[in-house]
Amino acid sequence: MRNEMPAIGAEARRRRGAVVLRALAKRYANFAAVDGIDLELAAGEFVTLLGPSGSGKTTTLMMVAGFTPPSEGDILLEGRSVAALAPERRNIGVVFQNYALFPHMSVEQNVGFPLRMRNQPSRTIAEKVAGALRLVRLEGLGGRMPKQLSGGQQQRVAFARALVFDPDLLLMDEPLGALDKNLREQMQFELKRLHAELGVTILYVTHDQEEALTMSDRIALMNGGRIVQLGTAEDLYERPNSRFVAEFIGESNVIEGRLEDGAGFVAVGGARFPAPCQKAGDPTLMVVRPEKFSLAPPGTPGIPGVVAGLVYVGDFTRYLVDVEGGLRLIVKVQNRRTADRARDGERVALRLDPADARLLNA
Amino acid sequence: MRAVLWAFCGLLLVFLIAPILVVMVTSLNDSQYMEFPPRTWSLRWYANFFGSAQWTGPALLSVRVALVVSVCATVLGTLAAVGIVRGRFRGRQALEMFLISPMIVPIVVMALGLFFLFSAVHLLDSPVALTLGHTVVATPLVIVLVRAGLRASDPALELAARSLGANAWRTLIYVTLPAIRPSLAAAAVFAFLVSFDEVVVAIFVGGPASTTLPKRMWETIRFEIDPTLTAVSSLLTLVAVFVLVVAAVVRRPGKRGAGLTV
Ligand SMILES: Nc1ncnc2c1ncn2[C@@H]1O[C@H](COP(=O)(O)OP(=O)(O)OP(=O)(O)O)[C@@H](O)[C@H]1O
Ligand SMILES: [Mg+2]
Repeated sequence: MRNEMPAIGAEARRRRGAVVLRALAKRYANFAAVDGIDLELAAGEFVTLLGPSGSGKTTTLMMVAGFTPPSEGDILLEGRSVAALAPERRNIGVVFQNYALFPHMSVEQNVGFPLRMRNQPSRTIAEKVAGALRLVRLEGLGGRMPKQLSGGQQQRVAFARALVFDPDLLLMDEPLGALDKNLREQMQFELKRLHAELGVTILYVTHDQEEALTMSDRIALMNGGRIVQLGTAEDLYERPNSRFVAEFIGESNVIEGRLEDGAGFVAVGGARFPAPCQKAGDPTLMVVRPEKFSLAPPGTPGIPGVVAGLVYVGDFTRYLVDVEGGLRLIVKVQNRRTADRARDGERVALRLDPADARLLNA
Repeated sequence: MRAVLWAFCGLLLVFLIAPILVVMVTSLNDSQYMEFPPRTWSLRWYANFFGSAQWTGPALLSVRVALVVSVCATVLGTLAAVGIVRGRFRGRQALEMFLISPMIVPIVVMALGLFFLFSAVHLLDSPVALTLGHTVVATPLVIVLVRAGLRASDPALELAARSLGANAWRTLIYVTLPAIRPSLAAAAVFAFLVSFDEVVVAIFVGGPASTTLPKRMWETIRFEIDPTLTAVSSLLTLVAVFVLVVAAVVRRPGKRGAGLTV
């Protein structure tokens, strides 16, 4: 029997599609939608552009796809510049948020379209289409029209169509944005499986940070047309390089104050926190993730505070704890033992390992 | 309250349809005079129509002109609409206004202009003049219809096609146009009907050698009272209804798309 999917199967082990974005920018009349982006994707890497609305994610993707001409900079695919190539000559697959399936073509015709445009013989097309539909688990639905499919099925067709011609790079702009939460989680899983099976380089856009954290090899966090931090999920969560990153990714206590010799970090209100280094200097912000604190009985070593509110969330409890100077901190504690839990209004001591606090320069 | 609404709608329908029904019933008269209601019935005026070159000649000309106009106006109007809706160039909106402006020019003024134009190039009284004139009248309508279809269709379809390896032309032919097929069909049908019904331009630029059916009717009513008119009117109405019904059926999206073969 023949390989399930000749073209894609053969490529699965060959990782390819290294991408370099070099000082890429898109400026409109008096406004920079993308303001100079440098980004390298290794072949086979899954990189996500994450950022608030209007941060330039889609614009970046559209430039890579060839739909929007960059104002400055270059795009290299496998080492060769594609910035001047028409989109149809870049060999890049694109998946759109609303699927963009051709409404007048059946599923098979949709998936076969890129192969027809490459003038492949109809026998090859039939084989590859069947293989691609099997890959996205849509065997048997090839004769349907897009309107006769559910949202998740349509999205799978869009994946199959973007993959069937064996692109060097796959671009996806919030491909799961239109799906409900359950289906979205299932499709995230499917996408990861496809990525692992095919080894294609993926540049992914989302503004759902959880999606970004769970799916990507690396995340480029964008704001105002720039990449503000590039790194793994762990880098961004544990080692945010700015207040923006700390507040955008997950929950953070961002505490203003300054580092004092021997006294650790002193918040504006006077509360003292253990600091990861002793040297006084520039840092004026300390970032602590809510789960890095733990609660201890009052009087024991730690930062004294009073529970000002709590929400029980099942596996953990979220506390609001007021410390000296009216500073209110968010504290997340696993509900491992009932004895660990504090009551509303109770006095507590907050424990913090200095290695878990992060100092930033404003 | 509902009863009043129904009664009102009923009256309105009667008011709109009654003239047509009266004409249709009268056309079945056996008498020389157009009596309503007819005392004796026959199809003699229909026989008269089909048996007389005076009528069938203009009818055939009308159909031929309308078919050519339908094709020309649909092609021109569609290309213009694609440019207007998808294009990115300076003066796009001005061009759009200009292209659909014939719709707001009084038809008599348009016909007079065409008369002078065609007389200058010695084209008056020719099927070519009629075809060109009617194309001018029908194209803005096509533009408006196709423009609406394009605006309602997702531009991401075209981006997708480009990323999948189709160049701009293939994208237009395999994706953009098929995706708005209903609008194209409607545009072609309306272009046909506009030309088929048109009388003002036909009177101005047509002549003895190029008399369309509406022009023949107009001339007939001026010089004689021929009950054949009622038969012709009924036939025209039936043709229009038939064309619209066919269009409605065609517009219903089929199970399979138009088989795309390269
Ligand atoms: N054609 C244009 N002319 C002017 N400004 C534009 C144009 N296209 C996009 N912009 C602006 O560029 C900025 C970036 O837009 P972009 O679509 O890339 O954001 P995004 O990160 O994808 O946001 P979202 O999460 O909402 O999709 C926005 O402020 C947008 O208003
Ligand atoms: Mg976007």
